[in-house]
This record gives sequence, C-alpha cells and structure tokens, in this order.
Amino acid sequence: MSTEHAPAVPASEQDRPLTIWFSAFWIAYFSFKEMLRRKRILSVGLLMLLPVVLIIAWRMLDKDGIISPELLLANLSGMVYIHFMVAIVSLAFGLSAIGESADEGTIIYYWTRPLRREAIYIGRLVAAQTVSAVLVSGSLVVCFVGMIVGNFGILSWEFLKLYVSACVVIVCGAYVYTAIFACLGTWLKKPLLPAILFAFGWESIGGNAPLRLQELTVVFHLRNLLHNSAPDSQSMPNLLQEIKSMLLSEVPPPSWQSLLVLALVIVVSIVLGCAILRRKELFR
Amino acid sequence: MSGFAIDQNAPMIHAERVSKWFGEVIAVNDCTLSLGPGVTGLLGLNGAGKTTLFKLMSGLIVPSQGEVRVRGNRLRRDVGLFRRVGFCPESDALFDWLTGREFLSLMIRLMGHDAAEVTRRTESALDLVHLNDAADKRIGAYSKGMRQKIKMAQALAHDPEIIFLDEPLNGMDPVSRREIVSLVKRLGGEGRCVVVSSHILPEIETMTRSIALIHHGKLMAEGDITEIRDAIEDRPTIVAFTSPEPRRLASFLAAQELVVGVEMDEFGRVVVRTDHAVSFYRELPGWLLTETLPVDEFRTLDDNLQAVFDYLVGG
Repeated sequence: MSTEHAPAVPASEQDRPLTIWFSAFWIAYFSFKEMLRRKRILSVGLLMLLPVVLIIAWRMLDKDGIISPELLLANLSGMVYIHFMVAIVSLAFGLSAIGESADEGTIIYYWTRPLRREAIYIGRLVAAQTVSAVLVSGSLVVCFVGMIVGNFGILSWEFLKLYVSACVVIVCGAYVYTAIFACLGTWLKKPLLPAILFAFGWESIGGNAPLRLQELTVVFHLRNLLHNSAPDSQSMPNLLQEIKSMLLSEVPPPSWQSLLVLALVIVVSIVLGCAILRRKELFR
Repeated sequence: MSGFAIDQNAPMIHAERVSKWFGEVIAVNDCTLSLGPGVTGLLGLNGAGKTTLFKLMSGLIVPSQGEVRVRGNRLRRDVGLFRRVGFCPESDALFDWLTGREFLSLMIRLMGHDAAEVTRRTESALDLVHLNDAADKRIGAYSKGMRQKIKMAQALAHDPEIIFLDEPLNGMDPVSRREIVSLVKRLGGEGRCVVVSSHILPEIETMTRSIALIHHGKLMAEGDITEIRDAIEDRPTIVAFTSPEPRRLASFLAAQELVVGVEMDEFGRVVVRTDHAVSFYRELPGWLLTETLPVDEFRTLDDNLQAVFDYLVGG
C-alpha cells in the first residue's frame, strides 16, 4: 500500500444520490406493476364487486322506483364506498406499501441503491395509492354500467354530476386512507389491528359523533365534499336530504376547508412515514 | 445536497470499535476491522454475528457504538456511495412477482443509468451468472440456486468496487458453486474489495486465504490464514515429513530450537511440532541442504482454515 498521501477529493456526480423524483418515479412504476401481480389483487378486486351486487338487487327488486338512482348512488358513495370499500382497499395496499417490504426483506434492494429513503417511501406510496384508486374506480365504473344498462332514462345531468363528484371524492378518499395506512405500516410491526380499529372504529364512531368531534375524522371531510358537490338541494329526494342532515354536522364547513384538511393529512402522513423510514433498520 | 468527500487513502471499509446490541443480546461486540482490495472471508458459526456485521458495514443497520466508514464516509448518510457498493443479502426475499430481467432492470435503473445502459448491463449481468434462459421467468418460479444467482447479478451489475456477499453459495449446485467461486476470485483479483461470509469453511478456503473470524460477536482474528495460525501460540503447528531416512531427519529436527516435539506417525512420517511456523519454514530449506537430509514431501497438517477455526473457537 502506498504511503504517499492523496488528498480527499470531493464526491463526484457519480457519488451523489439520485434525485428524489427520478427514483420515486421508477420505484412507483415497478411497484405498481408488482402490486398488480400480487395475489391479494384478486380477493380485493372481488370484494370491490360488492356494490355491483347491490345494484343488481336494486334493479331486480325496486320495480316501482321507490329508491331513485340518485338516492342509491348517494347511499352507495356515502355508506358503502367511503365507509367500507375505500378503507378495505387502502388497508390492503397501504399497510403493505412499506411495512410488508421491510418485513419480508425486499426493501434491502432499495436500501442498497443510491436512493434517499424519502424517494423509496414516496415511490411505494404512490404505487399503492394508484392501485387503490384503480380498484375503486373500476368498481365505480362497473356500478355505473350496472345502473344505466337498459335503464338509460336515469341519465340526467344531475345524476351524472352526482356520479362524477362521487367518483372524485371516493378516489380522493383512497389516496388519503392509503397514505395514512402506509405510515402506520411503516411505523408499527403489527399494524393490522390498529389500522382496523382506526378505519372501522374511530372513523365510524368519530365520524358520527356530535358537534365538531366528527371533524377530526377523514370520513367526515369526504362526506362533506360529497355533500357540497351534490346536486342542488331542491332537486334531491327528501330521503336523501334526511340522510345528509343526519350524517353531517349542523353547519358543514366549506369544501375548500375539507380539501385542505385531507391534503394536510396526506402531507403529514408522508412526512411522518419518511421520518420513520429514515430511522428504520433492517433486521431480516 | 451531498457535501462529502472521497478519501482515497481511507480503507475501502473501516469499522472502528463497532458494537450492535438488540435489547440484551450483543450481536457484534467491539469489532475493529479494515478491509482493502481482494477477497476477505468473514467466518463464523451460525449466529456468530456475520450478517449483523455485514449489515453494519453496508449501512443497513446503525451501530449501537462505534462507526463504520466506506471510503471515509458513512454509507447510511451518504447514500450516493451505494453506486460503489454491491450487496448480495443472505435473505431469500426477492420480488417474486417480477421476472429476473425486470428485477435486474429495476436494480440497474435505480443506479441512475439510462435505458440503453440498463439493457446492456442487464444482459451482461444475466450472462455473468448464466441466467439468460430463465430471464423472462418470474423469480417466484426460480430454484434456490437461481435465486442466489439473480441476487449475485444485482449486486454486480453496476460494476461496484466494494462487494458484500452474504452466504452466496447457499443452495447452489456444485457446478454453479465452482462458477461463483471463480467469479469471486476474479473480482478480488481485479482489485475490488470483496467480503464473503460463510459458515462453510472449505467454501471460503477455495476463494481466499484472507479471513476475518467472528465468534459470539467478537472479531477473533483477521489476516492471512497462515499468519493467523502462526500467531496461535498455545497450539504448535504440525508438519509431517515423508523421507527415506526418517530417523536421521527426526533426530536432526528434534535438536532444533524452533521445534518443540518430534514423533513418528503410523504412516512412517516424521511429525514435527513448532511454535514458530514462519521461522521454521524460513530455516527449513537451509537445514535440508546443509545436512543433505532427503525429503520426498512435507505437509502442514493444521494451517488450514478448519484447524485455525477449531483452535480459535474451541471447536
């Protein structure tokens, strides 16, 4: 070995980590493909067909038109999708986005690349959110088709507006819940039970709690968005009005406020998740 | 922003008084180790702390005490340095849903290469480990040996100068083992720092004479096997001579200061024990020439890896 002293040289371009957006993009791209090939996509996909069964039942049983298409859609969105379907799909893909990868040890292949951990987190999260959104959207499209085939008379401007706004809010819900569950999955070793308690305990109880307590839940803000974007009250069926007033607080906040809260939840989840991942060690 | 500098004089890998404990279990205990070019075998029984030391060296876990530097920098902080590092984990976890080619493409892409380079390197890495035929099969359908190979391929595809191979021969058939052993030797010969861990001593012995031996989390010895063997003072080195005049040879050797014992074994060989093997070997040719002692063959019976290992860990 030479004893001559060579000075330390500044790190070259070659020794710098990849940019966050470049690496997050590639991680998201491959993770999306990977998640689509997981076995659970089938079971969750099948579960996403549950609302279609309700649509079929409605078509078969409600011959007299007691339940209007708008009312059915509002109930499906508010009760079935936002309360149940979105939570399930986000649980399935959010919890596993980082946590499962760290548990099974595949995250080692990301950690031994010149990548910042933030990029890994964002890439995996975006992939999980996209998969969740695709599944939920697919389910909504099938529902829509199920409602209108052979029943084109229901296609009104109000109905379409309600459908589109419901789709946007539900997909938005998938993004928010997946971000929360990804953070939980990164943080906890066994995150399933806390995640279920959050999704079906806190969100259900808190979301229907009196006064402003319900504003601390994600579900409240999703329902608020749905309510604010719904067709004009005058054209809504009475029963739907009843449901809305039952589910929402007395004076619902404006949409922008709910949007801001949901965006904040995503940002906080990402910041926390990245911080947890930065400190995480690999024991497997 | 990455404000670090590459110290050309710094050892490729340097661990300074590194310890790692998990609760009350000490996995690695006060290890100081410097590694440069060539192949170094990291040896130890199962659970000795090899994998933990590997993970410490590659920044996957943080030392509870001490620090590890790669080219003078901390890998965990200066992640850009991972372009210089290849890591083949012991864990069998892989992206089972991707094909071998997709997996390698992703791994190379994440080193920052463009599409053309990704394709070129993917093909060349597949060639290197002879996995071309299975490249488009899902990794989940790979045999254990093929999984080892794809792990090796991702560790080498970006041409790293520091390579960690944790139990790389696990599950490989004899032909693949031979291929990987010669590949490892070639990489070491090219001046790369290759650290290979194994608990199967003959595997390591076929790759290198340079070892670091870890036992119960402590680094017991580091260096060339012969030098380590020579440094074990309480266990004289045993050398067996085959000679047409064994009695004359035995009586001459018995009179030498460097020799602590001479006996004849059941094969008629003269078995000599010496405390100073290196000096003994230096003097031996002179003795044989000046005394015209005929020797057909001599062989050291216990400077192999197994003997060194047994002496040090009390096996």
